[in-house]
Amino acid sequence: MITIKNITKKFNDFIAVNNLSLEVKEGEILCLLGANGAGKSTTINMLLNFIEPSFGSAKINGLDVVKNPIKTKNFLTYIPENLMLYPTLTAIENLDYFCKLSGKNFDKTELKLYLTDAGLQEEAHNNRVKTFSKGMRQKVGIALAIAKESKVLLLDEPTSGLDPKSSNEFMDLLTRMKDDGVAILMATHDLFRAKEVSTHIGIMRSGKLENYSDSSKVSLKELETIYLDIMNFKNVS
Amino acid sequence: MFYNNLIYEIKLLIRSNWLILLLIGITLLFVFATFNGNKNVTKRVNDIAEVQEGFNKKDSLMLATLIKIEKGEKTGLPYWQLPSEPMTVGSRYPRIAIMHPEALSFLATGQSDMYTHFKSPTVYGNNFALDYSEMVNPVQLLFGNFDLAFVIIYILPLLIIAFTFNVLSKEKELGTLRLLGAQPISVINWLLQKIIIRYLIFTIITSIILLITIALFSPNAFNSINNLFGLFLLIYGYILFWFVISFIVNIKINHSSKNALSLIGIWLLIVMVLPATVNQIGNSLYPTPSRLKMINEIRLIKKENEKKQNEIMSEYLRTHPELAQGNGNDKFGFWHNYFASEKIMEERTKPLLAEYDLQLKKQQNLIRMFKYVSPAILMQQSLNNIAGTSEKHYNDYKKQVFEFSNTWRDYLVPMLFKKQKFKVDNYKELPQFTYKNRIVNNVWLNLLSMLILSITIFVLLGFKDLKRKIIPITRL
Repeated sequence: MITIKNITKKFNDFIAVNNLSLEVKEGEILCLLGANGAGKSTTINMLLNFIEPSFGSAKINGLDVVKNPIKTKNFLTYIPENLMLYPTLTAIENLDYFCKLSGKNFDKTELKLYLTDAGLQEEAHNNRVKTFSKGMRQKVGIALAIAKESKVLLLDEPTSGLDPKSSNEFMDLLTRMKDDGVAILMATHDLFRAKEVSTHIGIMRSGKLENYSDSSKVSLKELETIYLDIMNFKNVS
Repeated sequence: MFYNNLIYEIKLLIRSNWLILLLIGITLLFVFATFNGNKNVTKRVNDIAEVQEGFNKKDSLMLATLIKIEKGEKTGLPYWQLPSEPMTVGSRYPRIAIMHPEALSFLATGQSDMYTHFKSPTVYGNNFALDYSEMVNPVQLLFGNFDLAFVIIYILPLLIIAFTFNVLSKEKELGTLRLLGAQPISVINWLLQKIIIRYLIFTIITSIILLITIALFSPNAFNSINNLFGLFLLIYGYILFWFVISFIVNIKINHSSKNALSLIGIWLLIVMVLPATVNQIGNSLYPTPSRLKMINEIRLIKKENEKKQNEIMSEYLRTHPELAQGNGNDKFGFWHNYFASEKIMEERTKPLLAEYDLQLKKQQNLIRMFKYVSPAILMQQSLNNIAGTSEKHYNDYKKQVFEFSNTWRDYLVPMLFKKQKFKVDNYKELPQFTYKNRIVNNVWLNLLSMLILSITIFVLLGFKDLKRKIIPITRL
């Protein structure tokens, strides 16, 4: 569903992403780990066509994102680190607005259903978003993904700043979506959550994918050791 | 997408109180400006009525005296005050040439505070060099008039800037732009739609409030429906220009404070700097000729003529044989000599006047050429034209009064030479002045120029971005 082939992004002399290739299939969650500046967000930004790659190609559902900037977005939902909505609109109105931008039209009952499905408590549905916490706003984002029937979910450090309970709820949502066949690419710093939720884990350093492993075949302790080794290697080098 | 954007844009504007602010702001501005404009027109109408009343009184007195004279009754007036003498009528009972306000004069004060709206050209004096300027309050001249033209030209763009400067940058600063960018839409198209929606909202609010204000304060304006229609079209064109500028700044700069600063800079350039520069260029290249200098030169010619009075009179009678008595007993007084030399003088001053006219024309042509550099100049000229208060209107009024003064003179002078008395019948057929607005107001041309300017700016600066559809979000 998500295919990245030999993608490179250069900002003048700085190489943010270096010859990266990876694939996320339906029903898979790939967590990209790495320090700040490792190239995780740049990779997601290239998939969203927010940044054009210098070389290589990125495909969503078999379509090149540079050649099909609008079409590819029909298949995906993006949840940035700090998902922002229109503060003066209610949760329902925000969801309705973004659904309609994606060409989907739902009535109020359906919208409420999606919000409930995403875990947003019912009494918040008609509240203006300006009173919402980050976790609540992210639930509206997930509701959008459910409503749009997105095949791809791109998440950029979604759990940073969330309290453990909200974080846990969010992971449950991701697992449910994975089970529904959605391909999920998530950039995160949280090794524990990554191990818990993902099917695959990639560790990036200086724009390169240094390690790629099957989550089920590696324990949290091993994962931590691999991660620290890679990071320490960086420090030594 | 458009319908969705429309519904939510209205919702967002209502919830951010923008619509209420716009409604109140525009209403206050329009009401105050219309009230002010009306005040100016009312003063003009009252001044005219006062003069007209004085004139009517004087005329009825003259008529009563004429009737007395015709009945052979005594009037008790000295010879030189008797209205039976054509020259007494010509100099003591001149007709009044009034320039009445147009239906939409309240719209723009224009030059109406600089010039008079009534003149009484007599048979004596240099009517072509009459002074039409009025004593005005210098403080008012300094601050200008708070009329509708001022509100439309200067303040509406500021409201538009406040209303649109951060349409896109606000999304970026709020963080919603990233979410929008991840939707299957072109953000530039989406922005264009938002700007179009705001344009529609702004023009609808402006139209409704203006219509209501005019209906309440100046219902007369509906008598001139063509001009009113033209006014609305011009306003739509001018508002469109500012929305196009704002759209371009939104795409090219996309940083709220920088957007606001750039737009204010452009506003200053278009409504202040460019008009002042064009005016300055006009004045330096073709300075307004001095009326005093012209009057002085005319005096010199007059003095020269006095020395050759006899020659001038015989030449005059040779060219106007119908005025000679033919019996050799011609007795010529002051008036005969005056009119004989007047003709000579007119001929000799013709090049002087032509030069004066040419200079004014050159100045106007220059401004006409440069008016296309700033829609504010275009708008000011158009609104003054619709209001009938432009420099052109007053120049034409002067011309009409001059033409009338000649007709008036040509009626009375032959009576002088033929030694005819002025009678009640003559009074009835005296030429009367009626001001005719002969200036073409060019609404369509000016509207077209404004549209062409807006489209050119849009195509040159914005079309490339629109065609690309997707702009990497980092560039926005």
